[in-house]
Amino acid sequence: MSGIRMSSVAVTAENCENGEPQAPEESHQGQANIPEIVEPEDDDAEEQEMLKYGAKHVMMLIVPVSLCMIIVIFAIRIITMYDQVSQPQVYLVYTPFNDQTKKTTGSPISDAVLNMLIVLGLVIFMTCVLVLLYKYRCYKVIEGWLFLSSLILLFMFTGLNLHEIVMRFNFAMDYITISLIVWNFGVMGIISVHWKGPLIVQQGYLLIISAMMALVFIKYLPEWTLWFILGGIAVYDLFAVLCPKGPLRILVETAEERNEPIFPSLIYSSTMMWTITMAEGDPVSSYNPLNSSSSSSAQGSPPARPQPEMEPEEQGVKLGLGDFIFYSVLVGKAATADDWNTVMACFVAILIGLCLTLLILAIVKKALPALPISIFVGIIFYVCTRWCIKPMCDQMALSQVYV
Amino acid sequence: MNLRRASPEEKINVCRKYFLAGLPLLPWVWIVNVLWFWREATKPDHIPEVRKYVMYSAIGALAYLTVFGTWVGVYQSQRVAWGALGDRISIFVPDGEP
Repeated sequence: MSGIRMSSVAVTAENCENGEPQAPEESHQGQANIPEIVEPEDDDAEEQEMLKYGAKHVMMLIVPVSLCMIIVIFAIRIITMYDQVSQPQVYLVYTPFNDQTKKTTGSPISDAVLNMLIVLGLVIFMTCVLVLLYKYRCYKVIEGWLFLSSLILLFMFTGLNLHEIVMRFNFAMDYITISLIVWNFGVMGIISVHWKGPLIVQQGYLLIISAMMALVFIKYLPEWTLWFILGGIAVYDLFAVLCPKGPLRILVETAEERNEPIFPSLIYSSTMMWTITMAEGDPVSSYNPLNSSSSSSAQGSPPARPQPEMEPEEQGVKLGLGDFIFYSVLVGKAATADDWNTVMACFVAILIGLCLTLLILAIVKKALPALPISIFVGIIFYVCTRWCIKPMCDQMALSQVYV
Repeated sequence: MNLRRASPEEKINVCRKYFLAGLPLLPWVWIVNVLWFWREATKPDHIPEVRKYVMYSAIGALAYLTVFGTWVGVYQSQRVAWGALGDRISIFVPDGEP
């Protein structure tokens, strides 16, 4: 299980700069150099349009990210399987330095660092494999890989989770009923994610897939290791997207050269893309409907990007599924700490990070890593809330001091 | 897929494929088909094939759900009475008094 899941690591990156929306931006900036008394209304109107564009799209991303995190939080609180430490605790084979194996270095921090390096190495390796496959046009391999991973997630993990829910609520269930439910759920998920389906169904399934992946991470990674992995992946994301030789950057550029969308899978899009036409009327490229598959793209999908312009209401922002997963992992891990303050603090932190990232995106207009800001703010908030604010609130409540 | 921008042939194709996909005990696919193409099938200038498939999907989903609901009702009420058979087909037997 763990092997197949990690092998489905894939990149999420955005391609293609949008040519058209930049033109009005540049002309807007050009106009701004002229004394603004000349054409104030035009400037204002364009600026307002840009702002409206920004706020609406922030909302379009905040809602799914929040939903995914809420699903994970409730799953952890309700399904105790994720909370309790089963004896013996089972860990992924990728993190050998834990307290269950003989190979522990004695200090949890150095264990965690070593585990993190192993996982990060694996992620980098997988990303490079993926980029190579993409470069040499082995699309079938990639598609098959993604299909397999979403198959496993949608069937096996749904079944497991349903089983846990049934046990938690003490509800009788027979094989026929549960297999029919899983069968329906899974097939519809595969169809909507890998083929065509109503947008909302596709988005819903992507959220559920991300949530399930995040739950698997939370359950099967040791405590400290998970935090270090989060930090490590955020740093890696930063390098992979922004450095000129980063694998994700290479992926983006290759896709741009070939003028095709990168992996319609693995990306959550808030609207549908159909065809794009340039101002002259030549079709630039026809994108396939952006489906997404699960795959824990441990590389954390960076690109949150604005989409090329079609109709004003059809612009959307895209966010990779790995971002959903790692945000949810952070919040979910905070939820296992048994304190709602921590959970709320991390939740807010991640949303703040996402808004900041989108703000920078609106300014820079290139593919950006979505993980670093949110994860670092989230980790800081988690540490502060858990070890400073919570005891302070407890003390204040005990002493009946109200602020 | 954006229904507003799809050509009639594509709509018929997708609706038909959803209908066929729902045949192996998949009422959920049929329900999604009905909900998705509902407006397409009920507007004045509807495409006859789309309407046909939507109607078939709706009827089929109702039929499957009826059968399924009956089974669930029978199972939940008769599980204890069935004794060993009830336990064998159960994925989980709840604690406490039956």
